[in-house]
Amino acid sequence: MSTTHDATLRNTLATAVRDAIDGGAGAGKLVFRLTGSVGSPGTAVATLTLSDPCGTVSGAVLTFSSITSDTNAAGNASAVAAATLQTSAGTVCLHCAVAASSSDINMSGGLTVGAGDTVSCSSLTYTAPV
Amino acid sequence: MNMQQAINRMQAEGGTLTATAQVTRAATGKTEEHVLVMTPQGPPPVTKKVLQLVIKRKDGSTETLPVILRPGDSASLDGIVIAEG
Repeated sequence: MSTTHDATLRNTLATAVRDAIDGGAGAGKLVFRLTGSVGSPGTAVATLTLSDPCGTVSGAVLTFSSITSDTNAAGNASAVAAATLQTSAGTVCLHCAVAASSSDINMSGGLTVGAGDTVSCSSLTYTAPV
Repeated sequence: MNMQQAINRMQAEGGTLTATAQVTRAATGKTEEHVLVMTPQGPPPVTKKVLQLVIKRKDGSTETLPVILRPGDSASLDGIVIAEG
């Protein structure tokens, strides 16, 4: 039998994630990276700036508000494989996978980002564990 | 880099963008030079307080929870206001 959480608790979890991302002096960031982990994130390839607050919580879902594109990405010859959501000070809150499809974040237009490329995020949500 | 890319970069990194355009009037055939100077006009700075609620347990361990207060927000403990945005 799988573990499930009360709806109110799930909302609390999503709110805690939102506040963790907003926990810096400025707006949090969505950073596309090479392979890594939450404790050892990979090299940053593109850095997008979140809104502040980063989003709104309803029904255990954190829906991110508008995300500012990186119009001058650092780029890398290797493919993007991960992304982090972090505070303005760089503290990593979430780490997730990035792929062309069926991933935490799906990236179109290729996974290799060139220096100076524009990287955008059209929509992003976080759902607290069921 | 085209004009839009230059504008985006200025918005992101600051500084001043200076662009010169030449306009040739069809009626007269004369060429005019126009200089455009642009400076960043970003959104107003975000005002927020980030407080740390720390609970220290008997065993010495601590639990820390960020409390973010924006203008008009308030934080209370058992009905007593302890901080305001």
